[in-house]
Amino acid sequence: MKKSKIISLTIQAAIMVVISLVIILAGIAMSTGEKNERVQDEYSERFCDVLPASSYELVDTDILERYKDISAVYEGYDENGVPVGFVIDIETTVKGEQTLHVLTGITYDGAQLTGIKHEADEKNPVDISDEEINLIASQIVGQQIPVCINTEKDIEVQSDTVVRHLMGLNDGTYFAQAHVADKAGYIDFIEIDVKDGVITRVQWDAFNVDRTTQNRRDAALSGAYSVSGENWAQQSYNLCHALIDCQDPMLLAMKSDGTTDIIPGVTVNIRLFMDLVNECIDYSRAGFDKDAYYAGMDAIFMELFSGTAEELGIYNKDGYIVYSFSDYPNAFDYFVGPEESFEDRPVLEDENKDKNNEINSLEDGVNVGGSSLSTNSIDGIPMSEVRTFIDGCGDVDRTLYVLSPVNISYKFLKEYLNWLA
Amino acid sequence: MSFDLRKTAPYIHTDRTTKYMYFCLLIALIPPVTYAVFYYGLKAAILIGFCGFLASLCQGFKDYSAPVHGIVLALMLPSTGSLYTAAIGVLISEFMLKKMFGGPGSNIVYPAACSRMILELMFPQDMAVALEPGQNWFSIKSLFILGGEDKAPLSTITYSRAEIIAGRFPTYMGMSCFILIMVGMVFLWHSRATKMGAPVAYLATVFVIKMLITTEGNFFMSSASFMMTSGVAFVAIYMLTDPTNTVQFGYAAPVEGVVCGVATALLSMRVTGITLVLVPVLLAGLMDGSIRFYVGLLEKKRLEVEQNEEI
Repeated sequence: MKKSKIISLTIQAAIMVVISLVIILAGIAMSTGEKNERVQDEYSERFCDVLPASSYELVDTDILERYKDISAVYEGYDENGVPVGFVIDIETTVKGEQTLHVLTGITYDGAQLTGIKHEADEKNPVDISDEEINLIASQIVGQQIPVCINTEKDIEVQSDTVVRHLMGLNDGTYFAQAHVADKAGYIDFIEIDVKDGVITRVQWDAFNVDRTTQNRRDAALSGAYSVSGENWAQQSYNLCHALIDCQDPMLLAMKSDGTTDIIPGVTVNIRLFMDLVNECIDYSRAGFDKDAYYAGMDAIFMELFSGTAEELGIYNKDGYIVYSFSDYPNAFDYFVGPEESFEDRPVLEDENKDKNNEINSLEDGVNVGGSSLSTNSIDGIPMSEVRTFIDGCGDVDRTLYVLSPVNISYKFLKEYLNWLA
Repeated sequence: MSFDLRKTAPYIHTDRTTKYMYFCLLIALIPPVTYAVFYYGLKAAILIGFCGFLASLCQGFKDYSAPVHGIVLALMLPSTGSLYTAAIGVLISEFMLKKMFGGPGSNIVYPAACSRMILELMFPQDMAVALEPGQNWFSIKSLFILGGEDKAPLSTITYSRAEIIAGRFPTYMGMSCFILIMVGMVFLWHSRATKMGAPVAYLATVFVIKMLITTEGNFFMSSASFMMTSGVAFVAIYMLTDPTNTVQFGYAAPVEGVVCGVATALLSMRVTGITLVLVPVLLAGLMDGSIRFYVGLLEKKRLEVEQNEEI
């Protein structure tokens, strides 16, 4: 071929590339709407029994590589775009090469199982009937996870696990925030959820007096805020989960220097966390919820500035009252708190209370009662984290076939939400 | 000076050489290659480049037929295909189907089609996997794992009309982009590199017979959907235009297209996947000589009749 012909063909080749890209992009623009609609219809049809939601989105995370049993994870959103939970598509190898393929639905905070559905498409299905699966599902749907069967609970109780609850907690959401900002301008706050007398959610974060600055957790995740040791967001998550596990802040074994040695990865000072958590627990006992707390704060603003927080426009976009009382050290004297006195300090309910093991004073960095945060495990989850015990379907092995995917789902979410919580 | 005594006068000098034809085929492959790289990412680019280069290497970079066959083979692989299977396919194509029959231009069937069928028989599970287009653009792990990724698409999915037209459904890397393949066809027609008799006859035959044998739903839409999703367009434009295995001139070209089309349409009642589109092409390739002979015979008789009438 002549040189001119080759040049001409090369130019035509370049034009072909451009035309191809234009057609591809036009195809995307034309089909995206229908594709999304089709995908959502398929998701809804497949997942509605497991986790009712307005829309679902496939979760793309490297963490999945460590969970070979999990085929896919979907996040469900309500009509306002607020996350409601996760659907986990999981096929576990339970016996030799036999597998069980199920979908599990779990609420956003990873605490409650919303549904479990058998996808009967295994190449080599395990010998468990749908009736047995449904029987087990009826015992765990609506319950908190992880789950194990009662026989394991019995074994555990015979060993050294002691289940503790703080007495007198009222259900609801409780909140407390620091009175003054720290050097970086962050005001720490704690928010806890109590359900059936048990602390089910703990959030430790901080907003900034500069309302354009990210919350500390977001700043830590984006790298704008750093502390020695692990990422602050990670440490906060670990601490909050440790509290959910042990239920009692005293078991976190804070030392006199404000640190703790018993929670893996936590190196920050937790004194303010402890103070705010204890404040929240007091509020829970008094039934003084988050709304009441904000009303109490309004009393301070009325006294100091003759206006409520809303009137003064000091809410940030997340709905927190952003004000540091550094110039008003006695401001909280005007705070309208719960009517009930806090004089009665936390009383520990010990289901297997050993009267000979009563502790009157705290040793520095040692948790009360000597109970461990992690003891035996089920599906790699410490028994101390197990929330629900069930009778199962009468056969231990078959019950475990169904519980295993549920617990693996929990493990995944625990790790995944590490970065989101 | 040497003379080739097999060639007789009159001699025609043209720049539309075999080299030119295959170069144009290479350019015509740009749309499906762009599609494959755009939707399947880096692994598609590596697979296509690898197959094209290895095929050229096997043939010693003599002409452009080797990269064309290599790239066509790559475009018929699933996006999860490994370099090992691709290499086996190219080696079968270049050594077993070309060199053993006397080198480029002497193969009796389309090499990429035959080697792809052999891969289908050798690695049925690997070849059956197809991923949704547009996922994991940078993932190249599957290139190095014999067995591909262990995640098949949901077989029950019914794709929307817009998705089918845009080629946004999982299949072999370059076979679902109907409109882009048509762009390649327009280029080939415009460049006059190859004749369009066989491919046009093939596509028309498949479409018409498919409409006739469709028993449920909208005949036209069902047939159109088949044309866009089955890969017949890819086969028509990139295999039935190949100057080595397809008749380019006279009535034999459309006859070959019709034969191939009838076989495809009838097979579609029993067979799916790549087998559906490749078996008829291989059959047509094997029947190429017979078709030329009988069509030539008929042509000769027609001319004799005309001459007799004139006398």
